[in-house]
Amino acid sequence: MTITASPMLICEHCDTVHRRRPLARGEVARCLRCGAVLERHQRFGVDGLLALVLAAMIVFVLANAWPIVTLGLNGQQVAARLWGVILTMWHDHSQVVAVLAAATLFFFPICKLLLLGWVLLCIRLGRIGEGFRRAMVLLHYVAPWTMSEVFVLGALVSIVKAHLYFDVTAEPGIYAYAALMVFITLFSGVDLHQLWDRAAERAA
Amino acid sequence: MSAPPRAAELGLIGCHVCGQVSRDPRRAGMACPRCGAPLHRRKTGSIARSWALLIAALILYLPANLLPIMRTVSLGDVDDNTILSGVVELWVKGSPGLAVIVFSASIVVPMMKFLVLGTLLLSVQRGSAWARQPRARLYRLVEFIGYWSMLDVFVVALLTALVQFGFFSLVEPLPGVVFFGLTVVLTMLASMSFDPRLIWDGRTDDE
Amino acid sequence: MSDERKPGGTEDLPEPVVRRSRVGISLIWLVPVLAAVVGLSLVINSWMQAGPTITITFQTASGIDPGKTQVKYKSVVIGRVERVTLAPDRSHVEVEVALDKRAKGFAAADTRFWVVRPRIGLGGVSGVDTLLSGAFIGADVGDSTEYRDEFQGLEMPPSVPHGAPGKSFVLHSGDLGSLDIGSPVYYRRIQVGRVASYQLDPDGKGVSLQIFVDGPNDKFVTQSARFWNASGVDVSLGANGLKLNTQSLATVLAGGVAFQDPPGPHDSTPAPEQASFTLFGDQVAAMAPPDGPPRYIRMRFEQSLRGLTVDAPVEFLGVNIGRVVSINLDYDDKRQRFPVLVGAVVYPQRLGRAYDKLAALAKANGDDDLSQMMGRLIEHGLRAQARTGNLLTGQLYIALDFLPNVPKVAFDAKARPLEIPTAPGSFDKLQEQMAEIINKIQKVPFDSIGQHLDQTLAELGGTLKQVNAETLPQFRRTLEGAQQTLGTANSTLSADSPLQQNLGDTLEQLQRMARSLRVLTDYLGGHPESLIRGRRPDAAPAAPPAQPRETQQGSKP
Repeated sequence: MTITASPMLICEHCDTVHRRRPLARGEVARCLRCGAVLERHQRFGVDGLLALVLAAMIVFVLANAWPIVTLGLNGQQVAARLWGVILTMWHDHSQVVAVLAAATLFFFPICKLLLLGWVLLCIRLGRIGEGFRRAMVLLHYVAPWTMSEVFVLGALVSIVKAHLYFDVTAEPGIYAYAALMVFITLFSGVDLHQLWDRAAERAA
Repeated sequence: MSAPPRAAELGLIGCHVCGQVSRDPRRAGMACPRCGAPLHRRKTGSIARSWALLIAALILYLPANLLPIMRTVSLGDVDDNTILSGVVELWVKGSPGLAVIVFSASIVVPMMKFLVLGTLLLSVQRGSAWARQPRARLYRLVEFIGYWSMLDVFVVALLTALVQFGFFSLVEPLPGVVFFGLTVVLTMLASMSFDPRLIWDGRTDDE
Repeated sequence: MSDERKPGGTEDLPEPVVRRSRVGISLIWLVPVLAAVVGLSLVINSWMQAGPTITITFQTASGIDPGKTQVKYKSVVIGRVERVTLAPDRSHVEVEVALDKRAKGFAAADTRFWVVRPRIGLGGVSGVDTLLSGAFIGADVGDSTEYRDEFQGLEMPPSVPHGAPGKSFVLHSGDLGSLDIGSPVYYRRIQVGRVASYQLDPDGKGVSLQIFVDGPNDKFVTQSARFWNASGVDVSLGANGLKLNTQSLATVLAGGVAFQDPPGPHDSTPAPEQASFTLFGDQVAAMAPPDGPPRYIRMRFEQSLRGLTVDAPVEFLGVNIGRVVSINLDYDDKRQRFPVLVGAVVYPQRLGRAYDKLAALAKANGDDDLSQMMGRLIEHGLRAQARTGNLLTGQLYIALDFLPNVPKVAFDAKARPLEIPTAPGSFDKLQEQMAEIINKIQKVPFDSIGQHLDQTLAELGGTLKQVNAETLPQFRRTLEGAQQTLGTANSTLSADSPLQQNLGDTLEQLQRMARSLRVLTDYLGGHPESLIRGRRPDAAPAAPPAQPRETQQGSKP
């Protein structure tokens, strides 16, 4: 590979060209012109990120396996899992919503995690090939469509709403989702551009 | 201090996908050498696409707000909720903080998206140099909070799945929520289609 | 053009603005932070609203649903069952209840909890509302200031709510009978309370019952009130006929306690809380004057006492003064006999005035416990007898009676228990009499009577034979003769016989004569003077009818 880490940065929001400069811990580089974030110091190395991805995957499985919330009314109990929610919406004439929920809460997050894991693994093993490239591109497009954190907020709102009429019990699923939310937020801070650079360094 | 140089001026092009800086050969059908994604200086058809998506979203937004999104059946008592009535209910039933969150996510955010994107598109089309930095900031904000509006959709979905007590209590989604979900997706797509670089294009003399 | 500029131009490119963001917190964290705030507020909210969580143990969790079963006090929901678990030793269940914050006071140490289920008892149906709503846990708050989080649930609803007006009393009884917790307490057949609890006395020799009498009726329980077990039916056959007596139909099946003041002058101040009373077996026993201290006596019978049972009455001159408490066999080595030792408890005070007088007399003589007095009575012929109380069943009772002509016996006034000498009972006498009768019957010469009878019968047989052979043919002939006579008589009397015709003529003439007589009387009625003056000439034709009559009559026979 001939392409190495570029000494220049182009602002995505206004096309301004900057000279790259190494960032210290906690530093954020912003565009001179528009103020958009150009680069952040990446707190986690490849190994750290890989560990996080693994943890996030476990949490993701838990979050989907356990019921999120249980409602009780007169001793009757209804527990909801993510897929229960999706299927209910599908059967309740809201297939669009079901598809949206399935995509943004299940497929995109799992894609994001898998791709990120794959990409990191590639970098770690130094196998930068076509697969890596494709995965990186896919990751770029998938990234904005994960909405697990909004779902957690929605679950909380639902609990508050249902609390007025039912006995609400928070199940382990919601805690798993809370953890997943933290992980996903962490990953959204991962700069794909820098991953490219790392891959390039690694390949060099 | 002179204005910071822009990529186009330097004959450079930044990849939209991987951020790779490469020389601009000024040819059609370029691909990024690093990620293989097609290279273009600006997003193609950005303004037209944004407009189309935005207008579609706006059309869907009306039924989304006017139609009820959720039906609560409790002991045969039917109660239809719109987005706004859901917020009011939260406020009245003693969760004003949550009401504010839901209100901003479900009403403020979509409205803001329409206004901001509309303004941006109009100003970009006119090549206006007015308040570029605030506009850029607004765009970033809109892009960032765009998906928050899904909050209400998820609430309805969760409540539908949870409140399944047959005769005693039942929640079912109504078409409003479908429109609302589509609105959110369309506005997200619209804001993604918009190319913020356009804000800075046009006349640069007023810098 | 940029090719040449680019490598060298890197230096004159502007550097981005670099800012140290505070601990790396970016806007990205807004959603998680928001969620955390909401979640935290939810937790805090539920924590603020949560009251104490208590654990109640029950024998069974039947009817208790976690999340559904409520805890109610006066029908107000004060908590809810959170969880039901089996105790580690599996002997009971532990019910975890989350009380409301406002119901914190219900965690007082003396609060009682029980499961309200539909109960169909003999005293009525309770908890009907739970048929639809399911069981709930009832609570009765105590006033202890000490708080607990573990309670022992009651298996039955407490019969006395805390702080209810009324008083508790303690009843002592030999056994529980058919009473149970919740059994009614009646005063003049109105239910005024119920049995709250019962337990065996520590020594195991009786039962103590706690009863609760509701206010304001508790004032009717006086110092001298008498309680009796009103269970069952009291059927008495008296001089007034058959009498059926019961407090209420429910007590027939479920049992109950009744109380009343004894007749006559008595202490009628209300009894204090926790006052102690004796529970009598029936109203008669309860209303009887107090028995006073019991005395134990022993009797030694030299006869079989078949039909004597424990609790058989001991009567003195027909007054029931006690009962048999033990029947034991003894062995008399010297006489090679098996005497029966009968122990009895007697209540001398049941003798009433006689006892008072005797006691006064005895006291005057320095005899405290009447044993010397007893000795004197024995000298005068007081003996114990086992008598037949019921000829049908052969039940015996002990009668203390003065018997004439009994051999004197030594009496030890110091012996305890007092030993009353016995006399052969009426049953023995009956036996003797029966034997006597049988003896007499045996003396009857049934054999010779039989022989005589046989002879007589043989003679009778001969006579009959004679009758058959001789008398009967003659008799037959006589009968035939009689038949002939009757035939002749018959023909004489037949319709066409001359006798009949003569008789017809005679009757005709008689008719004619009657007619002339009537003419004569008519004439005499019209001419009475003719009797004196004689017949008028024109009346001459009246006479002739008389003449033929006379002639006819004369010619007839």
